[in-house]
Amino acid sequence: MKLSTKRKVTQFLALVISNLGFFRILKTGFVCPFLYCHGCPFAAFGCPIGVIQNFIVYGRFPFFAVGSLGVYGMFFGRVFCGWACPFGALHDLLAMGGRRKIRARPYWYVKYVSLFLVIALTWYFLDTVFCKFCPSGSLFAAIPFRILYPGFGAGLFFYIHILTLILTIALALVISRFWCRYICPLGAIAGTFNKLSLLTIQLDKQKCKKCVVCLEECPMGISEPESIGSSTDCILCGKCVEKCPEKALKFTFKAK
Amino acid sequence: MKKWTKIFLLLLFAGIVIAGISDYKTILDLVKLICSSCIGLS
Repeated sequence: MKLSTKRKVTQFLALVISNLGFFRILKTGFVCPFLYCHGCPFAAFGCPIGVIQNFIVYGRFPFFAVGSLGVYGMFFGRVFCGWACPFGALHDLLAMGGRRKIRARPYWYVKYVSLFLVIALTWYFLDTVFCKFCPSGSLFAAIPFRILYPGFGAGLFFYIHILTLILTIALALVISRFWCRYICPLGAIAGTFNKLSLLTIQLDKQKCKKCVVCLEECPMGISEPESIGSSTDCILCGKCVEKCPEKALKFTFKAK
Repeated sequence: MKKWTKIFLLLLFAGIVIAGISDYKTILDLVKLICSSCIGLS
């Protein structure tokens, strides 16, 4: 099976597993390693960003969520963004049309500003501010909730949700993985672990002919072959691994 | 980064998970209750 097909299968499975809360007994208190809103009526896991915000509001340190993200990150880096995140999968779907994309620069630090704002605004307003705008919440919580319970109607905050979702989709149509590149606060946390994680993508410099096919294929706009696997932007999707004509890139799982 | 540094960090995060095991019930309640911000009610 091709790597890209495997990735589509895992993305679909992640969406199914995230919705196992359809059976109420399967709702859990674990946090998932990707951005999936626990406001979704069928959510089985807590959204890490939502959980962290709620704990800030409660005045408690989110030990369980932070520790879980650390363990996920130490093992797998940012691989869940590329292989599991349902919102990331939506971005992949939007990129399938083959339209001309803007070759936007990664500006890796923007997502850290986003992460800082999420924490600072939650702390200042003592409210889950990010959740009010989160387009993943719009798609997987606000809209399904209105479909299940049409009696709730649509107020200002619902329209804000819809607006952020439309904006994100519009930008994702011209900049591949727009949300993952620039905004996702969870991507900022997970990306930090790319330099430490056991799973990574390794470049064989002897085999590399600097043809940069890997960089042309990269949905995150990584600019150097040496940064693949270790950059905070790399989602380890493996498109570069699949397309490299020299087979110079490969997934490795090692402690060194 | 050295192997032992990675193992240390992994154990540290695992320790943080264990230290926060009592958060599980709070997170479960968050998952069971519908978050009003997430669904655009407030």
